[in-house]
Amino acid sequence: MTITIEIDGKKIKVEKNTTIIAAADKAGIPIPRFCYHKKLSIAANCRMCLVR
Amino acid sequence: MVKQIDIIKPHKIFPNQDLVCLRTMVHDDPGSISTYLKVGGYEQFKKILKKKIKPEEILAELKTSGLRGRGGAGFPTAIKWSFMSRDYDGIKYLVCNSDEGEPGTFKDRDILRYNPHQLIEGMLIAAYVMGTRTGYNYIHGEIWREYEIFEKALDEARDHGFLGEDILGSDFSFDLYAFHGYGAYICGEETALIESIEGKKGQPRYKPPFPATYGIYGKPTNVNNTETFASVPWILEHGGQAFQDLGVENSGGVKLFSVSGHVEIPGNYEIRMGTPFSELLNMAGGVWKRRKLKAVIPGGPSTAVVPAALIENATMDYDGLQKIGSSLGAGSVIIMDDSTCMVTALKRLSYFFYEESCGQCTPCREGTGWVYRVIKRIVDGKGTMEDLDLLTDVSKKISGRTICALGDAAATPVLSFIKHFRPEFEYFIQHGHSMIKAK
Repeated sequence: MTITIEIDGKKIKVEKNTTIIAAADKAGIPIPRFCYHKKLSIAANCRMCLVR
Repeated sequence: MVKQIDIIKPHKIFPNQDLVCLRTMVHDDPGSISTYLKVGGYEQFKKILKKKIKPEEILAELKTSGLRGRGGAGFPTAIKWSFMSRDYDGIKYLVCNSDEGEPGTFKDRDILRYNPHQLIEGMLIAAYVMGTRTGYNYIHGEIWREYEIFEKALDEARDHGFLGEDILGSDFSFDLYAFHGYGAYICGEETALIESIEGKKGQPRYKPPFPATYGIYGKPTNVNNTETFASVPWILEHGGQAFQDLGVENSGGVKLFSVSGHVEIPGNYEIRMGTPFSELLNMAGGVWKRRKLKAVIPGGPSTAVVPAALIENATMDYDGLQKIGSSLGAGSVIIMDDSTCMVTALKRLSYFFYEESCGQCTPCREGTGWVYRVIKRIVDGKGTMEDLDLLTDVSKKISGRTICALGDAAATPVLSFIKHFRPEFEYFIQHGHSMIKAK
């Protein structure tokens, strides 16, 4: 199932349960990150990708 | 066992303190079970088992009492207890957080020292309400004697049949263990504490899931402060309304205030919520050497500092301190007289947070270090005016961007010290020394 979300005023269609960082990557919106890698478990402690 | 240190016991000077958590202190040998039984101890627990009082009734009583978590966050206890599902039939845990490690906090230490049985009874009642069979008391790693006292109290309670299988002939079983920590400040954060009990390094977990659904070993866990548990037996004895009536709206009951710093009689004062600050200061003998009051940190270093002019008319309760831009925290009142240099005071405080940051989140690990190094630069006489803005900027970028509240706690003193005492910082930078002459 796909859902429509909006990042920075840009509407994009993504699969349900996609993470925001993956959705932003797909839309070509860069979010800086250090500890995130799609093949690793989520650590979420470098806090670099914190978004509003 | 370490030799007993003679400390001043404020209740001997002020018998009109409303003693709840420290009510055995007016008797000889306050920590023993015989003293606690004399003041009506374990009666509430026995009554609950005998009459099979419903947990909902106890929760309702707690709700009326207005008891809020005494560890600093001030979350209503009745609501926290109701988060634990009673229908869940697996293992559940109950944890008492006696890991107070912030500079200026020493209230839980005195409860463990002078009234450990009231804490045990409070935990028994909590275990009955939430249906847990196993409990831990996480005691701060730097207090050995209190740990020994608590182990002795546990033995006494077991000998009297209050802990163990099928307590007092009922079908309720509960056992409590003392867990001695290793002295890390971060382990006072409830999820870091849970990690520590599991034997891992004490680093906070990501929330949600909250401990009430995913705690020790992934099982539902309830964590409360020592003072919170110790207030429960009194509330059930005198009724929730009586407890609420001791305090003011939104802040029910009495609270232990650990007064330290530049006062004549430092110590723990158990007073009604909503007591004027001036009265508490008088109880502590006033500012020492008849000096003038300069500033007060009302709830421990993680709360904002307040200059004398603001706090003199404030009341000591959750709302009263919030009104003047600070918070009640754990009730660790640090008094500073007019000989205090705020710049060096802040250097000491920021070193504490730098030392105690667990290193998990980048903003806190790096930020607390930078804050400390910049303040040290100012104290060493190498500061520039831009440093003040830099400090504010770094602190604001720590706050709200970390997994646990230590980041916010580290930012609060920096922001409030600079906000209220900016001229003092500017003087230090311009002249290379403090504007306060040593007395």
